[in-house]
Amino acid sequence: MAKQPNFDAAKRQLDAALNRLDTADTQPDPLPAWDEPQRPAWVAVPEAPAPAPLPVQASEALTRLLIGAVVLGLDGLGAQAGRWERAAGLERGIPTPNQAGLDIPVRAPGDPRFRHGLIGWVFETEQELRPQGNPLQWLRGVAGHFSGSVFSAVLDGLPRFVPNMQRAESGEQDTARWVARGQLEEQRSRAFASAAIDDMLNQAIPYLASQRGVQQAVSALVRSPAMDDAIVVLARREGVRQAVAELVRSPVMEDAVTTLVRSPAMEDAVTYLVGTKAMDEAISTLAHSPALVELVHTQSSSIADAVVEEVRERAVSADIFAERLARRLLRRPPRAKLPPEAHGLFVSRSRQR
Amino acid sequence: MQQDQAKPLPPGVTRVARISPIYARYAGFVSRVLAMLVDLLIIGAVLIAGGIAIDFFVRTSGLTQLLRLLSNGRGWALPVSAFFVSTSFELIMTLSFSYLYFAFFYLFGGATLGKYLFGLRVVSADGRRLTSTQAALRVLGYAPSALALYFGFFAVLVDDKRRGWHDRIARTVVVHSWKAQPDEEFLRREIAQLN
Repeated sequence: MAKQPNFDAAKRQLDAALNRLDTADTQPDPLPAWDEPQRPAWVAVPEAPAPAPLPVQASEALTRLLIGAVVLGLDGLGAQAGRWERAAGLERGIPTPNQAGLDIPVRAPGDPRFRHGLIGWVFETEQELRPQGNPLQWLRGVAGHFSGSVFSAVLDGLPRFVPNMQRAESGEQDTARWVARGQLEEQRSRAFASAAIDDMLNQAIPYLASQRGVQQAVSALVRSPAMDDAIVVLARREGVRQAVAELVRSPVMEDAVTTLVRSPAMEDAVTYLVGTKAMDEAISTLAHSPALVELVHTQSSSIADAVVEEVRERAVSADIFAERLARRLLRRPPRAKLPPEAHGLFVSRSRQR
Repeated sequence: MQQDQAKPLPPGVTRVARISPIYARYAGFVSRVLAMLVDLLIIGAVLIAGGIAIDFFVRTSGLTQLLRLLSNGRGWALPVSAFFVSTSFELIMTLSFSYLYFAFFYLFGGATLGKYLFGLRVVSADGRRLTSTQAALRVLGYAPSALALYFGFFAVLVDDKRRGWHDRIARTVVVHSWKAQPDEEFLRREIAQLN
């Protein structure tokens, strides 16, 4: 038995290992009687790098922002509606005369499952419609998702001759999955939209305050005689006082006012306003000024008209260029002049059909 | 004009108000293609929105469960695959809606939304408004224009009146309504007549 020493050595190692298992909690490990050179007990393992954060999906963020904004808006509307009802003296739960006569119970508020299902469905649809892979396959998938799935769902309800034909996922499972996801995404969207709106406002107010056009508009507005009357009327309203107090306390407004005060165009206006103590009210009134709203509306309309006319002009130029190119390719003589004009877009009533 | 002058006026009417003929240039290929792209975008958006609504309705209304219940044990079946039915449904819906969209706007107003954006209008070759037959023929005429490798549309580039095959079929022309101007000669004659 030439291998007997190896067998004995292996047996001793096994015994030592079993002993170490028994005393592992209380004693340090004794060195085993290895016949071979010992390997180090611990090997330095390079620290694994932290996993890179997943890239932000713009479409998912946009969906979350939209859903969150709608949810926050509905929350705000609900809170405001309660105050309006109390101000109007309305009471809830009072049955209408028809309901009282027919003994129809007043229904409880709606089931949130529908809202959650809708939210979950929106997010699931957004996930399925992300562009990826071959554009043609993606377009085909989009069309199939919206129109083909309708028939798939209907056909799923019909029995078929082919027993192995795979059935679509049932509507109940879809709905349960949407509701579960909607519950989660509603909370996420609300938090996301709240953070996004706060951040956008914090950036928008200093930006607007630094614009020269806004500074000049504020300067002209506060100098107008009608502003004094408006400020007096507004200052008497409790809501305006609360809004102004809240605005004044916010750090963003502090930055905006600082920027305005330091601008050259505002120096005269600030000097004028120092004695009136109405600067804060003027800022809050600016957004509701009918003149300013009308000015913005008029400017927007004229810009849109100019853009449309420019697009049409460029299209007409492209028409002529395309015709020249086509005639050159077809070796036809260039058109000497534009085609004869169509005679009569509008005709007299007697010539109408 | 001579016929109008010879025709006696109705009793109690001393002057006939009429809208003068208006000259307008025929619209070219690029303007019409851009307008068509806008129309196709609108049609696509409407079809997708309708698909979303129907999809959500079918999945959440219990219609699937109802059909399954009604068909249980009755041996309903379809002789073709679900893919064929689904694709056919998509094609029929797309073509039907597109036909209604174009025919409706051509008949009532003479311009689709895309053509309105680019200041175009479809009129009869003699300047009158389209009849219902012309509107229908013009939309149906898109089929031969497109099936012949779109040569029917490229014909706008070389035709004297910038007409495509569908325009020739329906006897229509497309003009720029945003650059239309009254017929000066006509106005001169009308003013002379009033004086």
